[in-house]
Amino acid sequence: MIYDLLVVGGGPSGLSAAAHAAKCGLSTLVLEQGEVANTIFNFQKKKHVMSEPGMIPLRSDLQFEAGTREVILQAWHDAVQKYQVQINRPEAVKQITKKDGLFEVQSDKGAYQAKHVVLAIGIQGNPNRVGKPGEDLPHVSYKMADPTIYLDKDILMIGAGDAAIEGVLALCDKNRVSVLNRNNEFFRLKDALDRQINEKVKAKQVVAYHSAAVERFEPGYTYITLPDRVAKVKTDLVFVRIGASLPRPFLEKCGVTFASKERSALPTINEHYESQVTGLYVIGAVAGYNLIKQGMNQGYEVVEHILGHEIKPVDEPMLTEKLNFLQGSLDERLVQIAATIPLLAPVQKQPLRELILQATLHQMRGAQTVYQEDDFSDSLFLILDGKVAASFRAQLPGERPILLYQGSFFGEMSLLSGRRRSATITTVGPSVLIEIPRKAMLRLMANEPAVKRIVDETFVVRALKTNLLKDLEDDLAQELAHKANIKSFKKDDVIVKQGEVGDAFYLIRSGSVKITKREGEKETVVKYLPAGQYFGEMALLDTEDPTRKATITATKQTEVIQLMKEDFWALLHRHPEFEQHLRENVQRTRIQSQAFELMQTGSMSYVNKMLQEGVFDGTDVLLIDENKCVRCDNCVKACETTHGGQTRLYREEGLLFGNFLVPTSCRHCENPLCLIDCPPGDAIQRDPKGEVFITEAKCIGCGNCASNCPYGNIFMLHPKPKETRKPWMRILSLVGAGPPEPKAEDLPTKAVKCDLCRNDSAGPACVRSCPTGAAMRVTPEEYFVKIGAVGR
Amino acid sequence: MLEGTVLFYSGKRYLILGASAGAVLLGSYAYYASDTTPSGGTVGGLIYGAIGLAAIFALMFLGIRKRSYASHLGTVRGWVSAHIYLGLLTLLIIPMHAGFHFGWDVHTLAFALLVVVVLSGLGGLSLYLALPPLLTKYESGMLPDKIQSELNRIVGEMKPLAAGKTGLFQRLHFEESRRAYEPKPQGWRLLFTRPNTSSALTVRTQELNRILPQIPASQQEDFSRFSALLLQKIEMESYLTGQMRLKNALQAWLYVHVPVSIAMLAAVAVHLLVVLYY
Repeated sequence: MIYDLLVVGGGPSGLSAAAHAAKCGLSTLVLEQGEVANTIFNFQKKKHVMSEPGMIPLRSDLQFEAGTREVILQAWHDAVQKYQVQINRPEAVKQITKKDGLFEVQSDKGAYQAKHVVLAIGIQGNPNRVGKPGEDLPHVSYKMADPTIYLDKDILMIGAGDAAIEGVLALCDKNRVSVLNRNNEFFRLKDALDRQINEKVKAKQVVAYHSAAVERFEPGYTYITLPDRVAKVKTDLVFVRIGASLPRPFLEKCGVTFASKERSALPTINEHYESQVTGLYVIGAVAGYNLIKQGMNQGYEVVEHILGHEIKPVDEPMLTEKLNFLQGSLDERLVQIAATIPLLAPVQKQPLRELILQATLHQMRGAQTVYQEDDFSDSLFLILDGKVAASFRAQLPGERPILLYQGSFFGEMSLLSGRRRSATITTVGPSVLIEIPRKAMLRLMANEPAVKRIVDETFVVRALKTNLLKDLEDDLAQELAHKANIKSFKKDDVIVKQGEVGDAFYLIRSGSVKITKREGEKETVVKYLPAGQYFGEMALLDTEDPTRKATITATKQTEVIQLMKEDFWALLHRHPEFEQHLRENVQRTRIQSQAFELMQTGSMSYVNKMLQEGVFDGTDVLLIDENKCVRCDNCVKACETTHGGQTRLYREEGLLFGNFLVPTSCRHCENPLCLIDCPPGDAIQRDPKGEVFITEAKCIGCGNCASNCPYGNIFMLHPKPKETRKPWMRILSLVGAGPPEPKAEDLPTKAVKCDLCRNDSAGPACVRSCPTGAAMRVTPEEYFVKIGAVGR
Repeated sequence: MLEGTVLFYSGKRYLILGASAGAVLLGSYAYYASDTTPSGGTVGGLIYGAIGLAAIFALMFLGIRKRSYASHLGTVRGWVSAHIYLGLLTLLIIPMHAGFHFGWDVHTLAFALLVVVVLSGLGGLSLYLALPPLLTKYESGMLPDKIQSELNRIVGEMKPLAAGKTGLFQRLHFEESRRAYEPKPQGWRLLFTRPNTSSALTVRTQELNRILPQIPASQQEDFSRFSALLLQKIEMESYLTGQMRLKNALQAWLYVHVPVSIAMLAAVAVHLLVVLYY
């Protein structure tokens, strides 16, 4: 028989295409070489599968909502039954050829004819292989469905990517695990994984072989080539996780062409996902779309196209609705936006659609506040129509606010630095603003260098004006911005070294730095500078001794704006009053730092340690003065009682700095890493006052925030079950009769952390419950200003 | 030195309040004693009694306030500060109520118990002021949870060394791992347990040296590694007991203060019943 549609690959994309085709009466066949939805089938049991991107609707006859692996697989299985989709498996396709308008599909079991073929083979079916003798032995495996079934085994993991390390971490508590890494250290790992694996290696729970390669596998042993020797490692099991790649030779054999010879190049397809071979479609991961929902929508759209129905992209109605105040077709509306806002001019059509889709449009009637100075928010605003005024608290009376007009943008300071808003923005008359979330904007900047350049230069212009010189002329500012370099540094990178000749001036754009001075053997931290501050002027101003007087080191991921010596002097020549100001400051700093060196009090020696431990990252840190603390744990009990029986504060765990204890409790970091990977997006968030909090109802218990917290201050706990039994039942259960006590373990874990008792006007219960006043909540800057270690 | 402690809470607020209340009380008593013979039955005596009773309730309310974690009624620190001065004042109010008459009866028993309570409270206060800095020194960067995990690590490393060795060796290991999981004194046991702080390290070192010749030569290398771990463990444990002893002291006084205050309240109830009913 001749099928109307033959789908190769029974993953979400392929099933979606097949289900829709079967529903529309096309004769359909699916060929799958493994399990149905193999990739998801191989996930760990009960793994939460996400349904990103949230705002795009699903267009499929299969159901798909974020949920556990089991629920999703069941839903698809039901749909396959319902539409009677014919799936042949396991059956691997060997070749596809087109002859006289018909496709001939050759598999390992037989041959089929079809009018249309959809290739939805994904990339997981093509894992990268080790290619060494013995790799086909039964104990060498490319997948690991359930790490919990292994116990007391010697396991070798080959590969050091995210997936491999996740596997190692899941295995290493109950087994002796080693990991083979091709590189000389772990790199390109997610931060949280990087930290966890390094901890495990340090604790000798995991053995890491770096710069290593497999020589050969034998039953029970693996021979590993190390830089200096060949090691024989005992291995009961070997897992290989070195990624997967596009099965390019197969695709090329089918007639699919590629954009380039690059390894990362994708198949060339048109807007209907059709390859150069008419009737042969490529969808899903193999076409470069990694999200399940995208692939499912594509499957549906391909079938619509085969049926001859005209089908608009899935986001069309949402975009049209969003831009309903503009005229014309959607394309015309988008063109209008790009023409009005120069920042968006270089953006291609598809990324622009995605950007607008994620943006929020604000239509303001009159004078309305967009955000307040010191708010913690980090989106970027574009002015599509109207104008806004920026005002500052430190403004002199009578000074006029700065006006921004149609086409310009604002909010880039917080976007890039992650710090509080530096101005209050109010609309002047009716205006239309486009608000772009931080994530979307950063992605756009990463993909469109032209956009990044505009945002960066604007940032420099405004940063120079805000932090250095308010009446800097626009033309000079532009010129300096054009010449300035933006440099980024990792934690502990040295930016400026004591003793070197100074050739540049720096303004901290994001992150923070510490200033240390070395005298003989001893290195002391003298200061800590947050974003917005500058350094490096001292050596430039001193023509007699242009060497650096101190070392400046990044204390976290930090970006600085670098002005070279000539440009810095160009600025000073135009503004002698600024030079005067700087010289006075230098004088003051010198006196201060001399006084400081004399001061060397006990508490100072802890500054460096506190910096290392990230206490400065916090905005609100719980400190316990151990010299006053009577260890009554009333703070812990208070936390427990006011938070449904679960404390978020562990007094006996934490870091001691002299007599100050920083217990395990959230510090409400300035750049909260915990917010990065929240699948629901807003289960963990930061309110404008800077408090980071979790909404329990939204938390799916994935644990990302907990593993991203560098300080271990987010806990994954089973919520306390609600007591549903009547009092008499409870008494009965005391003697062993009656219904059992509800078990916490039956409920899924949720992330919990300190919320600073944000719903209580009187402040944190821990502090209010301390009988001796040992517990206090402070901003680190507050605390350190007292001992003279912060700022200028 | 007492700057920033509970005694000087909020700019010595309760110190000043307490001292002035004491002065007012003394003045009023001088006036009251000048024209009547002071005793519990007079109008003045009854007023002092009522004030004393109110004070006792206010004092005992600290126990409730301390546990009402969501309460907005001041801070616990403020309550403790007031509790101290009010407690001291009762030593003045109650004798004034009795006109400084004491006897061998339930009435004086109630007062005697009150004295015990206040004195134990003062003892507790001095412990609260003196011990935390000592404890901080003892902790010196090693919090109990770290010590505990260190201990677990050491016990874990001991196990393979002792496995399959001579009986003496294994028995030593068995005793050590049992000791590692001994329960720590809690609750009432705080009052009656003396943590063993004798120079355990030297004692054990001698003991190990004595055992060494009895260990077969082939196992001696493992035994000496085992001994090193064991001594490390003893050192950790002595840290832990040192901390424990101070922590016990911080809690133990409450096991006098609180039950005696409840007994005192019972005696006061009997006292009220006796004087008002009969």
